[in-house]
Amino acid sequence: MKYISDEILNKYIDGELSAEEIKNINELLLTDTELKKRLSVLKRVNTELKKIREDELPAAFTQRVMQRISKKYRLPKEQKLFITFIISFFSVVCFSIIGYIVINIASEVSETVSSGTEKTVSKYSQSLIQTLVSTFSGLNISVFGSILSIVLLVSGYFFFEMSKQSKTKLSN
Amino acid sequence: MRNISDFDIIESVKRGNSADFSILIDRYKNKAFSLLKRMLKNEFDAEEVLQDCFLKAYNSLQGFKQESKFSTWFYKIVYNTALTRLSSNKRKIENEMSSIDDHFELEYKSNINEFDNREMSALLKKLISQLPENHAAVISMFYLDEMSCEEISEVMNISISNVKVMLYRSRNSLKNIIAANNLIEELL
Repeated sequence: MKYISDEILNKYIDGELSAEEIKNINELLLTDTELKKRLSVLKRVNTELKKIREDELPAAFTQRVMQRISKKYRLPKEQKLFITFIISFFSVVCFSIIGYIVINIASEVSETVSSGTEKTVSKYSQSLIQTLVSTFSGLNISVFGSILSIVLLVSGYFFFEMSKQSKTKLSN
Repeated sequence: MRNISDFDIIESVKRGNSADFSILIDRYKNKAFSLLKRMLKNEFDAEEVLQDCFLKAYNSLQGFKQESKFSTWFYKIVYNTALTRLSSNKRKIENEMSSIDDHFELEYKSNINEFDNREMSALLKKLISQLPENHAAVISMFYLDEMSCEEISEVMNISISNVKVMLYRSRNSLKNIIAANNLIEELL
């Protein structure tokens, strides 16, 4: 009698055999009790496997993951804002210095030129120079320097932390 | 919520509604947890790894091209992360061929009286937990997640025929352990 392997029986269960092969097995099943028993057990195993229920996680799991996501992706957003603030601050400082220099040059030029428009420009320039000089002179320059140092220190710390975090992420 | 397709949820998350990602978590957490629990044989590790998997999925969502189903793409992340965890735990990871050639023996010592009071499904659940990681993964994806052999082969990066071999081998070993413990009569 032809031996039917378990693999063929599995294919029989999954409907992966040809019509002719199915017919042959069906004929054998009428006489071969051992084959019938093996098929029944495999069918039962298959049926029981279909009944297996999934394991359940607590509802708090979703919350925990969402918290981790918001924590992970909020931090770079805050850092981006901070960097934007620092860049804007330095841009303003740079433009002020450049403006100061330009106005200074303009005022020097105005002394030598005596046309009406240039006199007006020179007048405004003079007042701006005075304002800038009063802002960056004496005690004010010390306060400005201190603020700038603090900002530099804080931004340095944040940049250091960011690079540390990036390295950790890369190593993970 | 149940009617919203994975595609719509992903599009919404991509547009910035990150809270919608929780719908995907609720949809897949239990099935993915079942898969990880069977692979890692440890509930605590399974939960921890699953959290990492969802974070990875969220992080890579912008790059998800929707060429395959989200479930297939996500299970790929889950399966590979589980393998990495197993590897880091210095467990033996078989490659495609060696896993197919691998022969394993399930052991279950019982007597008939004990079996009388035992649900068949509970016994099978216990035996499945003894299957090698890749076989347990196939069983979990095929029966729990109702994935096709094609989808499983994509997730595990192996051929469809190898998926079927693993599936049949798992079923046969479960059948053999039942036969070895003279439980066939009770089963039929």
